[in-house]
Amino acid sequence: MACDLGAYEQALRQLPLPYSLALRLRAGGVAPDVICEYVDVEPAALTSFFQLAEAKLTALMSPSDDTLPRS
Amino acid sequence: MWPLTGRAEELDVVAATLDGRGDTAGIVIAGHAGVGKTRLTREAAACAANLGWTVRWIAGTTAAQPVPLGALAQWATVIDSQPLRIVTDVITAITDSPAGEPVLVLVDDAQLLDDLSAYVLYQLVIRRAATVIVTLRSGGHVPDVITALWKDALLRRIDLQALSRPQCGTLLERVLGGAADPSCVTRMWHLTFGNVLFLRQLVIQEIDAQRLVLGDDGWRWDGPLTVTGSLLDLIDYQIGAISDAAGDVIDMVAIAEPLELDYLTRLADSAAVEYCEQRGLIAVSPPSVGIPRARVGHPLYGEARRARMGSMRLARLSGQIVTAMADARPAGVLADPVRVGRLLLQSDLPADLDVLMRAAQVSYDRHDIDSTSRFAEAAVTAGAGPEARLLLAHTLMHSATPERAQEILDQLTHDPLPDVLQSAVGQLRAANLLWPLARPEVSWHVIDEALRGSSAGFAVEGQAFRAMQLAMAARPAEAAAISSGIDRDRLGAMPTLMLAWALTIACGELGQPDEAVAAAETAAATTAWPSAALQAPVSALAAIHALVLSGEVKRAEVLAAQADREWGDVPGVFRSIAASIRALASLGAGDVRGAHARLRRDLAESTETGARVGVLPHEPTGSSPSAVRPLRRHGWRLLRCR
Repeated sequence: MACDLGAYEQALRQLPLPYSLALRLRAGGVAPDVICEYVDVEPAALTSFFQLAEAKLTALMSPSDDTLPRS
Repeated sequence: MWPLTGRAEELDVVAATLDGRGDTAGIVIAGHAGVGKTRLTREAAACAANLGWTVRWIAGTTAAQPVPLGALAQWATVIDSQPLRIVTDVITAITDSPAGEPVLVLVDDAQLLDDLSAYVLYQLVIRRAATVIVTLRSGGHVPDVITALWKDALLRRIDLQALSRPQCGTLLERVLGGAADPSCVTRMWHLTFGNVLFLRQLVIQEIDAQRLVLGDDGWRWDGPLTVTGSLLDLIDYQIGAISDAAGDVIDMVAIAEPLELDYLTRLADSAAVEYCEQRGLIAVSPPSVGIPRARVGHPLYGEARRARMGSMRLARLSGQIVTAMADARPAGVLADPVRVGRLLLQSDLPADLDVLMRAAQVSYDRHDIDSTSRFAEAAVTAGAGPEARLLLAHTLMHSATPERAQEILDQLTHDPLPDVLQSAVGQLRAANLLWPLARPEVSWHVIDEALRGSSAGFAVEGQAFRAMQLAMAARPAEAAAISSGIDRDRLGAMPTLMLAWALTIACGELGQPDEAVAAAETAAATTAWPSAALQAPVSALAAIHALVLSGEVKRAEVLAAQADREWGDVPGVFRSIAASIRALASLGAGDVRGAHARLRRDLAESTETGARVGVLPHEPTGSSPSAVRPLRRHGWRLLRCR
């Protein structure tokens, strides 16, 4: 159940799927070019992609967040 | 407009770019159709405007894509034969702000920009003339110069994703003014995959059909789903159901976007125009950014309407738009000549020679050889005079059919022509035979005829071309000798050009690099019909050749680097000539493999027949069939130099 999950996992599950997938793959040690293929992002844009994913994850995990996605 | 949801982090990136915290000149927002790229860009525009920025909107559209500078028509009012100057003028016009405010340039659907507009955008970024936000639909062909924007780290690329299920729920709640029940959110999210445009279309349809209704416990989605499972199908279903009057409005915009509102309101019912704008079927630019222009609310709407449009309807509506453009001319609204020409060609109107010839000339000035040829061909078919046939022949010389150019030129020799045209026909005949057709002996006979003719003027011009023939035949001393006896004051522009090029080649072979470079400079400065724009890079190519032959390798490399900076990124034949120049300089410096690599790269990037200019050096191991084969397959012909 969601309430039993850690804050990180809960936040991951609220992200759009490509972001959460990329973060999970990276955490699993998958090579960047493979991640690019999975999430359909060009290698030149992968750094920017992860920066956004991390920013969105941080926002979801922030204590002031009211659990709703930011707009 | 639906509230922006789930894009806070992307807006942070925009804010960082606007306040200078970003390390790039702007952002590329990529994503699939309907994911919300334009919506995010609008929000960025609002942020920038609030901060006092001047905001410029540019949109790539299917209708304007075949027109050089089509996306930038409102800034491309000054038409000049030098494309580099066009680029600079357009950039200056775009980045001009009333009181020197910073300028944000928003480019929507950059994948639909024509090559020249894409190049302007590239230069805008390279020169850091403005901050730029570009949207790009994922998955399709993108011009190379646009790809370079993020691959070369000039702009930061953001790949916009569809909304997550929680974000979908938040958006629905905001739009509906109350929470939707969880099953409604889940079903809609599964159906739309979080695509905002899809979600929007679905909600509008289901509210209209009273299946999405407000109950005691919030919004509920009842009843069978009567849409098929794709966004395109849904749009097609909805857009096909609008009234005839609204259909006319969106079809006219789809045919000619960005379409000036002035033309649209002359042609369509104003209530229908307002209806289409209110429903988001079309979007009209605000008066603050220039003449109001309409474009379809989303490229998918245009695609759906064009797919439904038969050829007769396309012809009829195109004709109406051309007529409105002609009627509006006295009011001071001038449409782009190439755009008018294209609409005329697809319309049910009779050919208008003035319109076609103007379109042909402007296309030529913008180095769109294919369009020039098409307009000139239509003008000739409609009975245009020798100027049109001469222009057509000139474009065919650059194409894969120089034989047809020769037929036209041969026919023109039997026509009574004014001296200036008669001279041009003679020069072009000789040139077509000498280069594209590779028949120097016949070219020689053509000039023999001119030299034997009764006109002293033609004889002098014939001597200028004879100098070129001698230079090309590796007889430089004779070329120089004949040149010295020519009275240059009596030469027209084209013979002056030929003579200068001949001298460049001859002096190079005679080991006179300074004289060769001076002659190349004369050639570059000559304004010859029908367009002078190509003369500078071709003259540079001739000068490099002369320097290499004279053993001035370092000087050749410096000149080649300069040429590369000037023309290396200019679309079409310019880029190819620049590649040839660099290759020639590399070859002169003994770097055969480097020269080979440059030409092969240019071949891979070249898409126009007219852009295939190159020198293929023999590899150290001797002749290389493997190198020649792909060139032949791409329509090249191999001329062996001994």
